[in-house]
Amino acid sequence: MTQMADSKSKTITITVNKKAVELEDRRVTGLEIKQAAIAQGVRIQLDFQLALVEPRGEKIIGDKDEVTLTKHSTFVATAGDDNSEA
Amino acid sequence: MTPEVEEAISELRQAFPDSAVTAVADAHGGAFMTVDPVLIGEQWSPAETWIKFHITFQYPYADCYPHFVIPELRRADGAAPGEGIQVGVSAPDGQMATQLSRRSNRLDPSTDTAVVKLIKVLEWLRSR
Repeated sequence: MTQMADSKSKTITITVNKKAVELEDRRVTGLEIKQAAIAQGVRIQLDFQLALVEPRGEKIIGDKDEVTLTKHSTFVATAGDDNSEA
Repeated sequence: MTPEVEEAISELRQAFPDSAVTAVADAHGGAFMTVDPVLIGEQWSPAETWIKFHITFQYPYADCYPHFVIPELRRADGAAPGEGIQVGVSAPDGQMATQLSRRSNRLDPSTDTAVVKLIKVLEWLRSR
């Protein structure tokens, strides 16, 4: 019983593009967040740019960047931009 | 200004508390924005600039594009600025500027806010 409770407590629910996403670990990379979001139905692609929403705005999270998640962690994933001549 | 544009301005001020975020209304419900200063990295000279862009009345269904920084922007190593950067152009307010042409071709109005776009443009410039 205790083991099951400990195992369950590792799961954390965050928000990606306003949708709930569950992860097994609290210390994850940007890529792992996107992979979990896609697997759970968030309509993004792996090449989307991930940003962590913080009180003073957003912070870009790269695929290899590690973040420590909390239940309040909120992310925005957007398609990358392209160079263009205006 | 439209409520959506006003919300974008509020979010920009919240995201850049150490910068002056100035909004000048255009004639159609949008706003010409200036955020001053922003840091763009030591590979650029100077490493700090203002940045200007237009949030049109169609926001969030229209991209905030392009962005403009100081006209004297140069790479610290003397190399050419690179793709997506045009020198010697006029910003929307008529001021001479360097244009950063980063278009969001897969715009999602629900997530592509003016703040997110600005942070992405700055991240791109800092990574060059």
